[in-house]
Amino acid sequence: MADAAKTGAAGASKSRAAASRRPAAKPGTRFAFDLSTSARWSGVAVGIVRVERELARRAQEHLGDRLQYCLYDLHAKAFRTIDPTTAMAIVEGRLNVDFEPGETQRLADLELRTQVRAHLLNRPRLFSVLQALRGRKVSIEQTLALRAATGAPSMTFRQIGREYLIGNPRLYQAFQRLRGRSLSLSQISQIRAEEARQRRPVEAGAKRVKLADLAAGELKLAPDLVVISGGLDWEHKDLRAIYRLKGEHGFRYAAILYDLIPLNLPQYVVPHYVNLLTDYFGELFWTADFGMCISRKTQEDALAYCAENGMQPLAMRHFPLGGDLPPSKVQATLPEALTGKRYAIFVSTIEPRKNHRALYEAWDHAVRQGRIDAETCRLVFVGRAGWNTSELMHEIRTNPHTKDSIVLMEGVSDAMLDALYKGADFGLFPSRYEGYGLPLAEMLSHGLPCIVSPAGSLPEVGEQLVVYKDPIDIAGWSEEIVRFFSEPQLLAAHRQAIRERYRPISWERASDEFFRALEGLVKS
Amino acid sequence: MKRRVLGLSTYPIRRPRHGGQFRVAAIADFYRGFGYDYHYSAVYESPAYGPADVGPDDIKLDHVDVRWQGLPFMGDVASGTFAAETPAAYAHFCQVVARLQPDVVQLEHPFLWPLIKRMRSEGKLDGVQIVYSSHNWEGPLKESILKRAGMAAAKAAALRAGIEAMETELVRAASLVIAVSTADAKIYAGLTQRSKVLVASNGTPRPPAENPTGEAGKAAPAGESLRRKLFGGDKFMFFVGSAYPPNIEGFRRLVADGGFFFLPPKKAMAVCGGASEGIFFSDEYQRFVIGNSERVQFISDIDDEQLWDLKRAAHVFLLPIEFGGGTNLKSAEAIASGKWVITTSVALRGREAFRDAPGVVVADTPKAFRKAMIQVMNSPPLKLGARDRAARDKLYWDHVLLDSGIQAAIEALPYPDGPKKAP
Repeated sequence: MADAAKTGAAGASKSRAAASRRPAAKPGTRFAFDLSTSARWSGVAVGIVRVERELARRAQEHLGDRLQYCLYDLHAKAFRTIDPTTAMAIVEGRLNVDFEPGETQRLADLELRTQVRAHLLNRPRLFSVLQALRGRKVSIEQTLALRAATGAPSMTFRQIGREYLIGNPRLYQAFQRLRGRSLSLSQISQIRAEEARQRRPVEAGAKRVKLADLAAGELKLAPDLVVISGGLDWEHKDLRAIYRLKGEHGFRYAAILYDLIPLNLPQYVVPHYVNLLTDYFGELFWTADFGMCISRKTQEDALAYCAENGMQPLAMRHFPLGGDLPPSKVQATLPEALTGKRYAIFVSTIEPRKNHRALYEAWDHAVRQGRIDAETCRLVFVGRAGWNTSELMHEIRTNPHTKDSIVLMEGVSDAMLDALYKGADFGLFPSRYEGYGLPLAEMLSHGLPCIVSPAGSLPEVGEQLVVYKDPIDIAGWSEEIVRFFSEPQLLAAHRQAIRERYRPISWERASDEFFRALEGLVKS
Repeated sequence: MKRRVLGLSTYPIRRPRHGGQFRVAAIADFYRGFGYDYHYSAVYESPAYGPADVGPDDIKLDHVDVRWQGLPFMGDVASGTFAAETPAAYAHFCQVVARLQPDVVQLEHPFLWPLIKRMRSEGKLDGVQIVYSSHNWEGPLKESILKRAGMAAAKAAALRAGIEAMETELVRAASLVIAVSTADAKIYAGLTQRSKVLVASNGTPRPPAENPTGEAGKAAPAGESLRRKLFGGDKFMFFVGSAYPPNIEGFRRLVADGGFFFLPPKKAMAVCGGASEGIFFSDEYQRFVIGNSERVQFISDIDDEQLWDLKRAAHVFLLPIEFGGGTNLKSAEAIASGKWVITTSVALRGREAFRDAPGVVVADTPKAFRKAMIQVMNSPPLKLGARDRAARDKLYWDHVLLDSGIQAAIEALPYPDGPKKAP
């Protein structure tokens, strides 16, 4: 075994080279910024979409005429170029691209059958049994080939059933009657139209264009090209196909790495996404040449993954994310529930990893002890309710001691978020793990004192300017929240320290660091 | 004097595929090599074995007694009942014995003991020496298989007790017991004062001479072209196993769990033999089936030439066996190959001398097994010195059986009296 350990690194290097990871030695001189996620996105740009758009917006000033924008056509497994005007329309949310080939809005029967078949192929035993009942014996190889040819299902069984029913109005009417609902055919027609609209929601004012109508040519793939990708690649890309394309054309691939939570802390990830993202990362580390990490912690995690799997580490750099909100023409006013109140704010999707429960328990504890005035103080959660939080949401909504003092807000605009930050007494961030922690950067940019968990990358963002509390120390959080509400001089001191010492990271600076680091990687 | 040996068991050996078949076939060759008149007769299960697999004295298991109906993995036990209690089957074996006039009956596994017991009680084997050639201490093994298959513990324990009683009876009746490991030999020695107990570990057949390739005007052999087509000249891991549950379960838990993303997205793993289907359809493999299938090649039905070619070119042999008895034949083959070997302690049973040998990595947990696969796949091909090569050469069947003392023990057995005496 010692022999193996000694020779491991050299062997890894060889296998990487053999895997066509760097088929050509030519330096990258052209860049193609992929906008496949932004092009599909509707609504307020948050999280990954925000990062993709903010970097893409500034890419041209850094890369000049070496830059092209592109989209990945998942059906053709090819990158397609788009002109800069179209790219900016996407970045600004004015253009939404329909990647589906063909014109049909409603799924055809044939497509529904394909969906059912894809589901069955995901259950090979059931598939074999059904084929056997039809008098056909299907081997492993055949199952694999069929599965590869069919692809993964994009609809749940429930969705397929509903789609089928609503595509047959009389059948749908009869089914609804069985459920005690009486619907006319015209009402069903209205439902169908509404669902068709919902299926492909488009940002208000955004124009929707089919990919084919953008007259997008195929991106010239060659060793001098670096594709920059920072979107929801696990949904919009086929990395295995890109790996093969790289083998054929020798271009290079720079991926933005947000975090490795699905690999390291899968218990905090929506179950379906654990497999999807494990698969994604499993291929990404073989496909990408450059890893642009949103924090030092993410870079460390990625290095650890490569080492653990005997892989040559990616060439990686880390860069910060911007904490400034996009300028807004309108000024939002605080909701009535917060008017004249003091409040602490936590901005994040409500889900187990974000640890809203710790804040709820801490708040409940302080209110019951009478150490927080529930008449004048509020705990504000900004973010939609995510997975595995139904019990917590039930408790928040029904606990008679706290239900009036915990304010839930979701779908807030940038202007409203700005107003909420400005009006808050202090910010909170009790997360169990973060790859960056953008809301913390936003809070500090607004000069807010913060109580923060030291997990993941948060200390990189919070530096020495926030108060750290262990995310499992409920009593400690309760104590600190009480202290922040009851000691105005403490808050003032924190605000002053942040004013004096915090160097806000704008998206300008973040993109400077991103492109400088990327060019450095490519040159090296 | 030329010995006449009749071997009996519960599978044919005409075309060996699994470990038990290889062992019996090697023993048959060994005996014949000494000029013994060796014949073999088995009860076999259909459709597991087809017409091309069976010999002239083999008989199909036509009827499973009600005691064993609906119970998984009890075909071998049912075969013993069938041979002893079904008139046609019993008549078949009586006719075989009458025709061959053996002076030694060698039972491979204990399962046909009910047949021999009846024949002895009816005076059909007077003076014939019984040799018990064990492959495992079967009772506990069967119990663990049954429990893993979901059988209630009490039921599995009762079946184990029945098998243990049968095996004990056979050990006590035998003149010679051949065990596969010292651990098993100790058990048998504790059961009898009368029988001589020897150890003959499982060995491995010598690989056939390599087919020369690249000769002008001659196509490469089919096996080699398959290997080249799949793996080119790249490193790959090699696993071969029958559909025997320990093969599948060990692979699922130690190899497949977590996916194969530590390998680049191209074929880098060969899974051969009857275990393929069970592995492919396992939850562990299916979890990342598309990514896994980029890297893993299943070859469920493979001819010997292709198989040998894969073995010769493999970078590492995997032996992810977590339960089962006896000494694993595949461990002998893997170690003798001179390639890297990643093995569990269970699979290495009987080969403990190689535990610290160069190129042998013992890993008993999923984490350790995975770590070993990663490290070995990132290591250069194993190179062995002359001494290590010589040590591995002792694992081939010819060496193993010669060194075991079986021949002398068989020679020392008395011959039957009267008309059954060998001519």
